[in-house]
Amino acid sequence: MDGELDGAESAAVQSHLKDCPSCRQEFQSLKASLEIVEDNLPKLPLRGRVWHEIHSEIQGDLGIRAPAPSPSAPAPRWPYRWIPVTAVAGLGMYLVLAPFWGSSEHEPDVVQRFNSFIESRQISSQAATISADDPAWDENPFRENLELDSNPFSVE
Amino acid sequence: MSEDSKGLRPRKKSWKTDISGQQLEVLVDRAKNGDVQAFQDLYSVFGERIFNYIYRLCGSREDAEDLTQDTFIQAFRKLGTLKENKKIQSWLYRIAQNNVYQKFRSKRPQTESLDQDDAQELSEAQNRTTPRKNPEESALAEELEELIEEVIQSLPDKYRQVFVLAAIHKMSYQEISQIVNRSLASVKSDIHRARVVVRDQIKEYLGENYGMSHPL
Repeated sequence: MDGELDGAESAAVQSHLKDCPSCRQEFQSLKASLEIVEDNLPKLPLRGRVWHEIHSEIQGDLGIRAPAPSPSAPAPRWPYRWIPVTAVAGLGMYLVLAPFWGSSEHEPDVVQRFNSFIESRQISSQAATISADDPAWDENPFRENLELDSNPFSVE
Repeated sequence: MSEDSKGLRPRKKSWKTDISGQQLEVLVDRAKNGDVQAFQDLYSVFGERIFNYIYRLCGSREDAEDLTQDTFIQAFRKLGTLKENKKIQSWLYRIAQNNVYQKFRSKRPQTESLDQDDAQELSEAQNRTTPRKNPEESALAEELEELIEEVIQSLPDKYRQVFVLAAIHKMSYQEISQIVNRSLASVKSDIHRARVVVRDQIKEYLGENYGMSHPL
């Protein structure tokens, strides 16, 4: 029935079936049911999205495309693993050394520009200052902390 | 009722492919070396049959698709452990079967009724391979198909797996024995018992029409 018997065995079975009506009937009956099953069960088509998922996963395995991050994801290969380490080390060095770079050469110029800026701010803030005689002065909650005659940013 | 009206004319649907054993072994070798195209070719050869096998075991299209996906991903990752390339088919079926039984270890898979889209797709697939002449014939064939599905799903697990492999996938007893990891004698005996159960139920449904279209 399944083609499992070799030539001699098959011949022996055929010979028996020829002479034995009950075995022949049983054989025919089983064979018919198998054909009915085979003929009436459709092959279910496989949708394309299945391969798409498989493909995406194996591409990730091969490192062709970055896989979704997962706890079991392998560490990136050299030199990529050194990129964040180098960046952090560089930043640290900059923060430590920056105050010493070019401190003497440009200082007078920077101080001068800073003072000019403060002067200009002082003039404009004085113009906006409220006089102590002004009634609005009493409403200022910070008045006790202010000394109108001394400006902490003034330049001698 | 005529034999035609039962839609019982033999319509051979084979899982055989055009690829030779040698070509298959070359593909496996290439896939083992990470050749994705070769693995895709293997999927083209075995994907649908593995999917249909899983579907017959679990009865749910969604689960069958997920498990087919798992089977092939697992196969790609473990392909290097396959010693004999020519055994790729049995190896894939075995992975598929293990996945099914791992997923449903604690409970027997429940057969889901197909939704409308699936039912239509199935019907179209059936019509492509087995064109029918009229609505009556089509309705009767669908009824018979449903009955066969039910009969297969009602078989005990160990009968169902060997019956599907032998009767639908046309595997040799030796291959089935490797896939289900049971002795050849046990496989032969279970296939016979399963056949008798299936035959009795189909015979009961078809009554006196049984066997008319399939003379020896």
